[in-house]
Amino acid sequence: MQPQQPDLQELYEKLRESEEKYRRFVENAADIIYRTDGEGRFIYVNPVSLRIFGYTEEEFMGKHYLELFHPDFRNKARQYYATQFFNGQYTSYLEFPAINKEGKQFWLGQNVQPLMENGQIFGFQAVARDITERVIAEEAMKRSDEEVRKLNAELEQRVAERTAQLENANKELEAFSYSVSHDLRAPLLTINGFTQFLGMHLGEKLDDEGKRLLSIIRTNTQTMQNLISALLMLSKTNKKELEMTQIDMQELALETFNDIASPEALQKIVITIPEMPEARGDRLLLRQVWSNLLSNAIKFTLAKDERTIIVGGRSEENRNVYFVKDSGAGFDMKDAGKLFGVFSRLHSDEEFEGTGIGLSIVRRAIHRHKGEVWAEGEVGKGATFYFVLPVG
Amino acid sequence: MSDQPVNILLVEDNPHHAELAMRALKMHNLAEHFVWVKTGEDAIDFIFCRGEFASRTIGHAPKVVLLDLKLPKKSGLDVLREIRSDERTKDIPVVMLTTSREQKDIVEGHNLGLNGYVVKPDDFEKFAEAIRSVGYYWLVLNQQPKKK
Repeated sequence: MQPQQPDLQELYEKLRESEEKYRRFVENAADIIYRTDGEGRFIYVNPVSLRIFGYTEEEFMGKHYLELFHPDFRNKARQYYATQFFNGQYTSYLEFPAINKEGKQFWLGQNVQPLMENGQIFGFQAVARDITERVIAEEAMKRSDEEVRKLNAELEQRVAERTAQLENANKELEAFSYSVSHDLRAPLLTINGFTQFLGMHLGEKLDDEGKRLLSIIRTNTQTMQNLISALLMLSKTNKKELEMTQIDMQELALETFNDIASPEALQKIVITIPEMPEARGDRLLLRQVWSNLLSNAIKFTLAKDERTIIVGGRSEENRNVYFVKDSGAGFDMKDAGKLFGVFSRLHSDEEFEGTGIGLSIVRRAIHRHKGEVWAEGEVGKGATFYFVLPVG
Repeated sequence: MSDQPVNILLVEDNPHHAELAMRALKMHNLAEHFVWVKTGEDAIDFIFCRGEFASRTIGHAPKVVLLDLKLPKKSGLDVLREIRSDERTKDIPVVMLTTSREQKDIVEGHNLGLNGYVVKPDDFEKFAEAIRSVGYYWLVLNQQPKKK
């Protein structure tokens, strides 16, 4: 059988149809599609290109592709494409600022392919899309990212500065209170000693009023001694290096209670100190904690008819909680925040004596162990002081 | 000043504290041959028999020096250093008397061969007791090594 001759008319018709199909495709596309000659001058642009750039088809033809680029970007683009073709890359994608006939800038993302024949470039074809919105959004994001970063850095810097200032102020305050407390001791010793000499010197000559006056001086000297000792203790609590050991808290609480309780307290107060979880901490500081909490409990309980103190401790996850619960004067929960401040007192000296420093020593000692303190109470119904020590 | 044996040399710039110490010693009959100087310079003059104290003999050293740490100009530690660096005086017992509990001072004092360190309590009764113990130990109990 003879091979059938192709029908040229039919082939031509098919080709025309195909071309028509692609032309419609290209002309209706939403993207910019164009072709240039080997020099980069336009030989075809689709209608979208005309609309976006604002040139007529006549104005477009013969223009160089670089003229669509923002002037600041032309050199870069030239180098970019030169490199692409030098390296024989078949396709490239570039995002760049373009400029339309009115000089308005917008962003394009462009795919370019060289058109080759016999190893020679005879033209380029490109598809480009307006990406202005995306670029603006990205830039805004980048700007806000940068702003956030800058703000964060500023904030951190400020926090660091403030912290350093605060630490400095704290140190100064500490050194100050330490040296003041020391300097206060010297005249105090003198007052104390000479009051005693005066009493000895006057001896029998001292009448009741004289004795009363001397005793007021003595009591107040004693108060001042207590204040100064407490202040020094507070400053020591801050400065002391922690010597961490394993501590039997029941034993420590018992021992402390027996040391500080007056004969009256030992006789009148019913105290329970059961077994408690062992603590890891600085023995001296924790002893001070028990001492201050227990002496508070004793002080506020002795004045009442019901006099019980319950001490206890329990293990929780990663921490041990200890407490001292008394049946004493208690306090109003709205004052709970004032309890642990330096010199802050909820009672007058006539009601209960005190320096107003004891609980702040407790708080600092526990904070130095990375623990917490808090209190619960009700007026007339006693108070419970808790402290927590981390385990491990 | 005559060349008498001296039991206690007190170096104390606070006259009231000096009086307290003296009265405390007196209460316990330990104030015999007691000398008080106010400055570190005077203490050195006394110990090395210079200036005002030129008529003394260096061999008649005090049985104990009670030395305040915080003195104007020449400090207690300076005085101690000078006493310890002279062959003739280096064995004189020196007890530091101070309100300071600064570890640094205590450590330095001991490195310089301090014989004792008494922190002045702010309670007079405790102070009197501390002074009494120091006086009693160095005047009554202590046996100094015999000089060659």
